[in-house]
This record gives sequence, structure tokens and C-alpha cells, in this order.
Amino acid sequence: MHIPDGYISPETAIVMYGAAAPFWYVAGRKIKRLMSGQTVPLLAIFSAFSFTIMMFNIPIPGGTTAHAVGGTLAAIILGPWAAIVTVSVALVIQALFFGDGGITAIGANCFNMAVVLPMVGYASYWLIARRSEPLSRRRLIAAGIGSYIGINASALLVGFELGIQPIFWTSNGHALYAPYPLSQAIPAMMLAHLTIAGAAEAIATVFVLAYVQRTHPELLFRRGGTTAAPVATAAPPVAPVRRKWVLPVMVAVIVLAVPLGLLAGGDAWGEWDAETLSQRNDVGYVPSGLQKYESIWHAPFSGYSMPWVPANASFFENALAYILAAVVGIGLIFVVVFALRVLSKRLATEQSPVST
Amino acid sequence: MMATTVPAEAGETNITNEDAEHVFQLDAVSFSYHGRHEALIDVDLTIERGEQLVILGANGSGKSTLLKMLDGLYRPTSGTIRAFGQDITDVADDPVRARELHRRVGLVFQDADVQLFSPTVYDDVAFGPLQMGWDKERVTREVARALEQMNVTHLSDRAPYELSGGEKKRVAIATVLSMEPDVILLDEPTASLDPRSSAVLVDVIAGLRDLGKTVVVTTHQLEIVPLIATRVVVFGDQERRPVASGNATEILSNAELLIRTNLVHEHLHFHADANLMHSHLHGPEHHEG
Amino acid sequence: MERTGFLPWRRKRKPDFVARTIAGVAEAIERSVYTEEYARTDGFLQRVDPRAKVVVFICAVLAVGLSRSLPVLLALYVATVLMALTSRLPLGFFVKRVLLGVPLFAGIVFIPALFLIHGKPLVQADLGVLHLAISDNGLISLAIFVTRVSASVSLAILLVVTTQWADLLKALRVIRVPSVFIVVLGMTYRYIFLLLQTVENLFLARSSRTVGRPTDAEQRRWIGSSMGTLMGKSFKTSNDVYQAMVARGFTGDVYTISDFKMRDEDWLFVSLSVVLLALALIFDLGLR
Repeated sequence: MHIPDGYISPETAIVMYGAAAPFWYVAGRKIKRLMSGQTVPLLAIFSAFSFTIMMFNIPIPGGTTAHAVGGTLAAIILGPWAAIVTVSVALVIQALFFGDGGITAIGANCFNMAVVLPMVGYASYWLIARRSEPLSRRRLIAAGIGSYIGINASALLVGFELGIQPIFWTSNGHALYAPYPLSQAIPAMMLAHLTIAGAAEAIATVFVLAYVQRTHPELLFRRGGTTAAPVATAAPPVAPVRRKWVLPVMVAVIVLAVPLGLLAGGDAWGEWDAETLSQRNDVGYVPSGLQKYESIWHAPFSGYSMPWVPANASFFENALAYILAAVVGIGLIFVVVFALRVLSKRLATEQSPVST
Repeated sequence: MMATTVPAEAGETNITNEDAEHVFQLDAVSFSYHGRHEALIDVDLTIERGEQLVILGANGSGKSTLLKMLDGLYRPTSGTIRAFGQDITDVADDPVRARELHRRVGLVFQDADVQLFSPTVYDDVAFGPLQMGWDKERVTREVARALEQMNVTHLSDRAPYELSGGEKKRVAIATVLSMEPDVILLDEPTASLDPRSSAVLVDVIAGLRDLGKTVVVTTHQLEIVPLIATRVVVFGDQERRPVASGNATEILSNAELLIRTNLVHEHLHFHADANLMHSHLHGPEHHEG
Repeated sequence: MERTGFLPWRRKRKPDFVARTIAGVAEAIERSVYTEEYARTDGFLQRVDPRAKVVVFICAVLAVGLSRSLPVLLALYVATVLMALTSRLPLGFFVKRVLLGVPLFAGIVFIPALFLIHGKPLVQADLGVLHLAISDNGLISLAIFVTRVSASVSLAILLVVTTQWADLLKALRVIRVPSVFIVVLGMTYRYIFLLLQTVENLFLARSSRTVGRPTDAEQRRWIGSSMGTLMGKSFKTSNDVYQAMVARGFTGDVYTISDFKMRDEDWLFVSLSVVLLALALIFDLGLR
């Protein structure tokens, strides 16, 4: 269920990061309020717990084993917002460190398994459990059904995300990312999750909850951990704000502003070539220097409309070409500057008698 | 005092009266968890500046609770605690004063895995100084010094889970030393260490005196007592309060006391045809060789 | 842990789930130890500032994701191999981990697509009613897909294997990850090891006590109770860790220290990489 790198297009990946971000933000705010200072260790250790239970092989009736996600379980014990954070952290560590799921796909994987799964799972659980006793059998049944629905909702979403890839991202008849259309991706995912993976998730959830009911019932009556000594939180120390982001933002604005000229329907202002320039009334003449050097500028990028970009290229491709050209231009300046600095430093140390 | 906003050098400012003889003064202190389980009952105890006090008691005699209370983590159910001449009974309510207390009193937990929660040894030793709001230069200096003093500089970019039991303990002590505490509280430092690491650690603890620290150690292992104690207080596991106080020789030679407080056991051994009732007691003389 | 991609189970009859979980745990620990070892050797990427690596990694992953032509994707993959060599990663380790890992799986998933994607048929076979044909489009799709996945995975491995975990975490500051999140990530990683040890002990204790073959139902009950035990330990540990943090001045906000210094060489590395990646994409546009 972990989508690896390369299965979904960068556009999909970015959209999925965007989908997960507001949930992360709200979850962060909610948890901070609910749990005061204890947040950090509690979240960290339950993320570790989430990670660990994903490693268990759960025997399924019929003789196979499968891994569970445990998102609904986390939501029942810790609350749905904390579940979003703990499962997300576990997924991030899996992706970064254990290669389980792609790094570009972290947004998608978190949205599927850390947002949709616990939310849907917990909502179903809550609808079925209603006001039953926290230690009742009904809660167990609700947890089993809830987690089953949760993981299948999540699987449906994965099938959808993979299935739309060949629809939107195909070139010259071949698929660029995951190749299977919706009609194949969704049934494949659902078949696996309605049976084996769904069973594993439900089994893990029910059995752990039963164990908690038996041995740690207090966990089901209060939320957010226990505090032996209530220690109030201090006013947050004021960290100095450093405006280090100014430079990157400026560079980004410059790079992104370049193709805006395309959007305006004509040439970018200030970047007319000689021919356009002579037609413009407000300038009226062509600076001879410009005319002279224009051929040089035309050589590498031909006024940013690259000769090797196909004539039938889409607007997006033209914009991309534009941005890339700007990136190469600015980047080359940086390369030259830093190469010179490195070189001069090397030379200086070579000549210096104290160098070791 | 301490009217400034928080990270402003929570350093040497005053909870305190520097000349106070008594580092801690407990007056009729009791503590119970959730109003039920009584961990400490009516404890009177005074700890002097510069002593190396060993609190001896069987498991469950309330030693760990006492240390957490001295560090302001637990609030007594009744009674008063003074530290450095000031009342700290309700210090947990005032984060600024609590933080100052945490700086001056370093607590080394029994379970090093709980104390070492950062990705690397260096980050762990720097955690305390950073929370104190010290500037980067001071943090770097104190961390380097603490690592040096505990002889763990070579481990600084290791992850805690890569360390041996003895190394973990020394790093744990470094994590509180980097805050320049006046007092160091060690909860069962040699429990679950092999004999050799245990011996190294005992040397380290004895060395803390040379750094001018007041040291309070809880233990139930009699063999380390004469090596580190300038004074011993025995907690009774029934009484949940001190039942005896004295130097190591006095306490360890009092077999009746040690048996009564469950620190040594007596049982029957069958030697040939004679039934000998004796206790497994090793007095201080056992260690002087 | 075996990489299974989005197939969450492994098909095998009569699984000994205890042995498998123990093996998985042992492998996870071993893998991390190896990784830290490579991060400590003196190679090219190990010397680059972690923040520079994070930035270049993101740009490279984007470039790999956006490229559509096989030659450019192949060039990007070859570049990762060259980086691995200059960083003194054993080629066998690097290529094996990439090619035998996810892409092999990707290949298997993709094989049916060879026959399903229509185009000019290259190879045909008539098996009675079944008419199988591998089309040019199918073959190109497969090649592009496998190369792209290999390159992405190689990049991730390069980043993780040449950077110490703690440094990598701190470097995430550069892409505006909040410091609380970084602390939580670091602590999570640290306590995964504590919990994995607990799991290993639970499973070893069980396998030494088990005689004969327990029924599936017994196994499930046992798994449930060991996960529950783990949860109890998690609660206790988080309480204790919280106290240990408070005892060192923690009041709810965390501060971290890092002594990263971007040298001119690091800036050169970043700008040169970005230029090369942008050029690769420009070529890619031309080849469309």
C-alpha cells in the first residue's frame, strides 16, 4: 500500500502533499492544546510504536500473513488527530530510512494511510460504538469494522491515484508512470484489501484493543497520556526571527516571473528581440549594440524559446523550458563565482608557507 | 527576581542563598501516588553541602520518589522541602523557578534509555544547556567540558542505542553535568551493570566530589557504599522513611538493621550436619583489600 | 523488512510468522548499523554539507520525476552510480540494493503491461486462444518506468547512506520543517530501537517456550497481547522520558544546535548540480 517513487507523476505528488498539509497543520495545533508539554515524547514514542506494529506479520485465516497499518487503533487510543501525526511520522521514517514508500510519495502515502485511514476508520468506529461502555464487546466489534472500512477506503484511494496516471501522463502511446488504468488498478487494490490486508488490519485492531481492555483499561478512559507530576509549561522563549528566507524567495520570484511574460500573451517586458523592438512605438529605434549582440544571445537559448522544444509543445512545456533556462542562467553565475572562490582559496593555501 | 523573560540566562541567578549550609531540608514530607499508594511517610532529612550521601533501601522503599521530589518533579502530598535555603515545595507551579532548580540539581535516572532520548550523544548532552537558553558558544563549551569529564568525547556522534550499559551511564551523567549543577542525584547507578562497568562507574561517582558537587546516590547494593559514601541514610521498606543514619562502617556493621530493612537476607545453609543460620553480609572491611 | 511496495502481504503457505518477524527486526537493526558506517567513511558526498545534499536531492528527484525520455533518465541513473563511486560506496552494495529492491518488484508489476499496452508489435506468440504480443510502446514504457524508479531509489539511498541520521534531521530545517517535528522524528527513530528490542525479546521468549504448532487463533491472540504489551511499555516510556526532559529544563519548546557551515565547495556543489539537472531537463524537452 506504500506507493514507491516513480509510480506517480510529480504533479500528483505535489497535489497530495497539498492535500495532507492542512491535516498536519490542524493536527499539530489540536495536539498542542490537548496535551500541553507532554506532546513531544508522547508523539515520538507512539510514532515508534506505530512503526513497530507495522513490522508484525499477522496470521490471517487461510494461512498467509500480512502487515497492518494500525491507523484506526491509534485513533481509538490516542484520538484521531494524534493518530494523523504518529502514523505520518512512522511513514516518513519508513520512506527516508527503510525505503518503504517513495520520498516524493510521502504526501500521498501520508494522506492515504495517515489521514484518510484513521479518519474514516475512527468515524465508522464512533458511529457503531456510540455510547457503549469503553470496555464492552460492542467497542471491539466497532473497532474491527471501523479499521476494515478505514483500510479499504485508503486502498480505494491508492487505486484511484495509480489509476489516473496513464490517463493524464502518457506520451506517444506509452505510459510515463504507473501503467494500469483505473479499471485495473482499483480492482487489484480492492481485491487485496477487501480480503487479506483488511483482515490483518481488523485482527490487529481487535486483538490489541481487547488486550488493552483487559490489562490497561485506564488508557480507554482518558486521553493524552498520564502525568504523575503536572508541570506547567512556561511562556515560550522568544527565538530571534532571522530573515534568511529573503534570498531564496527573491530567486524563486525571479525564476517564476520569467514565464509570466508568456501568460501575458506577448514577449516578456524588457526582453524583446530586435525585430519586436523596432515595431514598438514607444522605443522607436533599435539600439545598435543590441542588434549586434543579439546573435550571441540567440546562440544558447534563442531568446528563451528553445529550438529543440518541439513546435507543438504545450504551454506548460514552454513555461518549463523558460524556467529551466532561467535556472541555468542564474545557476551558471553561481557556479562561476564559487568555483573562483574555491580556486583562489586553494591557490592561497598552496602558496602560504604555513600550510600543512 | 527572575522578572526577565524566559531563556534569558536562567543561569546563576538566585533561587538561593549561596551561603546556606543545607542543600536540602525536608520537613515531615509525605508522598502518595493518586492518593492511594504511600511512597514516603513523614520524612525528615537534611543534606549538607559537599556531602556524598548514599540512601540505602530495599526496592520499593521510596528512594526514587525522594530523588524526583528533590528535583522538583513531584510535589509532596504534605510537608515542606527547602533547597539552597528556599522553599521549593510548590516549585512545579512556577516554570521559571523549576527550571532554575533543574539546572542546579541534576537527576540521573535509573534507566539510561529514558534519559538519552536524542539522536546522538552530543545532542543529548547539549539538550539541558539549550533549554537553559544559553548562547551557542557557552553551550558548546559546557558540552565539551562535560563530555571530557565523563571521558566520553569519542562517543559524541554515536547514537545512544549503539552504546554499552556502562557508556550509557557515563553519558547520562554528562547530560546533567553540562548544566553545571551544584548537586547530582543518581538513582541506582550501578543496577544492571556488569561488575567491571560498575567499578568504573563507582570511580566516576567518587570523582564527582573532586568537582565540588554534592552527590546523592540511592542504591540497594551494599558493596558500593563504602567506596562512595561520606554518610549513609537507611530507608525502611515498611516505614518509608529514614530509620538510621551514620558513616558507612557504622551502618554496614549493623547486621540487625540491614536484615530488618531487607537489605541482606538470612537463610539456612546446610553445612555437613550442622544447620547454620547466617546472613550474607559483607562489611566494609571486605572491600579494603 | 522486505520491500513489498503496495502489495501488503507475501504469499507463502504455512508462514512461521515468529521467525519472520524476528528476521525482520534483526535486519532493520543491521541495516541501520551498516548505514551509519557508510556515513562515517570519508567520501565525496559525506563531506558535503547535509543541507546542500537535501536541496540537491529534492531538485534531482524532481528532475527524475519530470523527465520523459529514456536517454535522460539513463544518464541520471548513471550519475547516481558515479556519485556512489566517488562516495566510496561499494558498487555491489549500491546497485544490488537498488536493482534487487524496488525496481525488480516494479518490473514484475509491470510485465503484464508489456502485453496490455498497444503499439507496433515486436514479438508475438499465439498460445491457442491467447494471443500475446509485446509492443514497442510496451517495451519503452517498461524501460522508462524501471529506469525512473531505479534512479529515484538510488537518489534516496545516496542521501540516506552518506549522511548521519542526526545530521539529516537537522538539515531538514533548510526546507522549513518545524523544529518540533524534527525533534519528534529523531526521538521516534531512537525509540524504535528500544521497542524493536522489546519485540525481539518477546518473540524469542515465545519461540523458546512453544512446543508444537499453535493454532492460528492462538497465534492471533498472542500477537494481540504482545502488541498490547508494547503499547503499555510505550505509555510508560513516554511518561518517563517526559520527566527526564523536564528534569533538564524542558518546558514544551525545543531548541536544537547545529554547527553546519556551508563552505564555498558546498555552494559550488549545489549550483553545479542544479545547472546540470536543469540542462538534463532541457534536453529531455527537446527529445519529447
